[in-house]
Amino acid sequence: MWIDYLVWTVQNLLFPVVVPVVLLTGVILAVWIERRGAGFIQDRVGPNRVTLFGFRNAGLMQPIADALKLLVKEEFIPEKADRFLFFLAPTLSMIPALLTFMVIPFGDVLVLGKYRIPLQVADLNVGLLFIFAISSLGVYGIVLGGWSADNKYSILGGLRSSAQMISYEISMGLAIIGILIVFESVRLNDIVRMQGDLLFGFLPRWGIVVQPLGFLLFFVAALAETNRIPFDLPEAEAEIVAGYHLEYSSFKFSMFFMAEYVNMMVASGFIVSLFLGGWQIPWLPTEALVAHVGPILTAVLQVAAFAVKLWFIMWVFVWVRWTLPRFRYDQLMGLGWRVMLPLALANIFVTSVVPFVLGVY
Amino acid sequence: MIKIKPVSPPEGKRYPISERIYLVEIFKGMGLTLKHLVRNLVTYPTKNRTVVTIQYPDETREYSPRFRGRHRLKKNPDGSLRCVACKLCAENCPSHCIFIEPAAYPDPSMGNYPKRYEINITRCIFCGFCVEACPKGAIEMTEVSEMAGSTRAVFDKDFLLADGEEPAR
Amino acid sequence: MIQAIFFYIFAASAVVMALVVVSARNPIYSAAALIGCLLSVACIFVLQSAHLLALLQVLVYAGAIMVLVLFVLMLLNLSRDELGRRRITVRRVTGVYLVGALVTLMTIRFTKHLWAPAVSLEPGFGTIEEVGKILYTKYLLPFEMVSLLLLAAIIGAVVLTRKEKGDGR
Repeated sequence: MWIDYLVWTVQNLLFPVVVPVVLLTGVILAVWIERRGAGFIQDRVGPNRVTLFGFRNAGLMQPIADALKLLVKEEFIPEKADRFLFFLAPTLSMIPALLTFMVIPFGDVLVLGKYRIPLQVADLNVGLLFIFAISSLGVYGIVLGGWSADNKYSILGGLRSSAQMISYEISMGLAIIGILIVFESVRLNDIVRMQGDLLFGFLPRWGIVVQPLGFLLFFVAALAETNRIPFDLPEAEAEIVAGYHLEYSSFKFSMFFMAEYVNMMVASGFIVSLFLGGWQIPWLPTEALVAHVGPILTAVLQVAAFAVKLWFIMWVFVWVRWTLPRFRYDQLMGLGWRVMLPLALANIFVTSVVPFVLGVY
Repeated sequence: MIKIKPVSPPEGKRYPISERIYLVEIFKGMGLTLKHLVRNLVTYPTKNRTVVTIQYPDETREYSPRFRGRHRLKKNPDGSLRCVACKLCAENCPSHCIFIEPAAYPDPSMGNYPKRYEINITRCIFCGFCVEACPKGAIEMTEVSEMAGSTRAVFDKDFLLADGEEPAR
Repeated sequence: MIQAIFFYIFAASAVVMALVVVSARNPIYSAAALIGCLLSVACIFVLQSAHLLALLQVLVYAGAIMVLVLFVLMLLNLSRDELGRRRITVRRVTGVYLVGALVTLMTIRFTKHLWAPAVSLEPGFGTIEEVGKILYTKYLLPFEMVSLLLLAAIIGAVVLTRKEKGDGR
């Protein structure tokens, strides 16, 4: 049957191509939100002059103009750089960024007759661990890029990045254990589906409601993992110029740049899936939606809900960036090891003990 | 008024707990930035914008009438030149950017006039001494600040008289 | 069929990477190749339906431990002279001989399993649930003993790195 092939193609060929393309296109929107948001927060206007066919479009084309500018710039390679690793590093930071989004569900399973299309590229039974494992590889792009450029500032950036990643990955992993205990699954789609339940009959059982401390810890750790202010020490402009991508120019720089924003989107998608109900529309479970508006519109609405939540978290990232100053390095380490780690452990303890005290089990 | 908080706590005391756990202060700060964002976004489409950006080619800053911009040579009401080529302006110019070649009118009672009056605008420092030195009030400075060009311009007499309009040659 | 092709690709890449690890002059290259080797082995685990094992390998070894190794190597920042040159020493010859002997022995030992029929897996093999069940029932004692060992190692590390008060360093 040709429709079998169509469904197979959509699932196995279309999604893996479309999702990275959408992500890379999303970088445009992310940069736009960042720059215009920064402008309005600082009583400025932000870039708004690049036109497309004579229309101002509120500066949405500025990132494209920037990208074009980067592409036609001279490719500069330092004389003493390690050329192989210098070339490899931007790719190493880009690929994990794009891979991690593959297991994040952006909609419930679309049921069309006898076909079940999961709105997610790969529905792994170890989805959550997959994100952790692959995103932990992203640091190699930064570390090797910093080392291979043969520049003291780049090496400092790489060193800072590696130590920071290790420190905050632990808090990040431990912050999630609470969610795992509550939802009893590591399959992301299951976790999202369970967040459609209601607590006390009215409150959506989102991760942020049942695990507020876990959400806070995870959010802070996500800021650190994506090198965002207040944790952007690997690229601290004021101290080490631009850190690990100091010697990069042209397309290689733009790959680092895009990887950073894709990482932000992955982190947002992850936060949304774990703590903000993923594709769930509050108080509207999939079954009710399908019964009223049909499966296709349901999928569209759910994807839209996911996108809205994702961009909200992206906006919070931007918002935090233009509010807070940068940490000092010892403060960063102190926060990671002396505050977040004990809090995450305490969170796990409380989450495991409370159900016994309340007699849920 | 901006209230400034002391950076370090009073002698022998620690910060209050609300500041030591960062979070409260962070949320306060985020509230402040959000306030600015919302205010700027809401007023952006209206007349009284709160963003301070002047979107330059479309809008320009309002200059004071005393702004010292590009020079202009003035004429008498009958259309004759006010300048008598006394060279006081050229003498007073700290950057020596004014060049005057005087010439006499055919009628001796009318005195001199500048045959050439040139200002090398790339050297001018816009101090306004030429204006102050002029006994006839023949040179003044306009509010025009846009003098960018693709050549190193020497403003000649016709150009200065025409007040920036390209004179017909 | 496709599985077999991928297996040989990843196996070859694992072997090549491992060879680079021991033969590269620059320790950073050794570390990078070791990461590649670990990733290749993880891919082989995936082909064998051991998803959890593969991801833990990537997470723990490739994602965390190798970052620390790179961290230390970057701090060393060895120059070309310090790395030394290739020489044939008694130790290296012995090493090559021992590796050859090991490979030969393993080939002899494992060849008879090579053509054994494939074992069909139980449903749920390699999932977190199954691994967890086995780990916390059948292998509970070894598991707990390993965790004790690791705890002792952590405490040891903390004790070793802690500065004594008044040590002045």
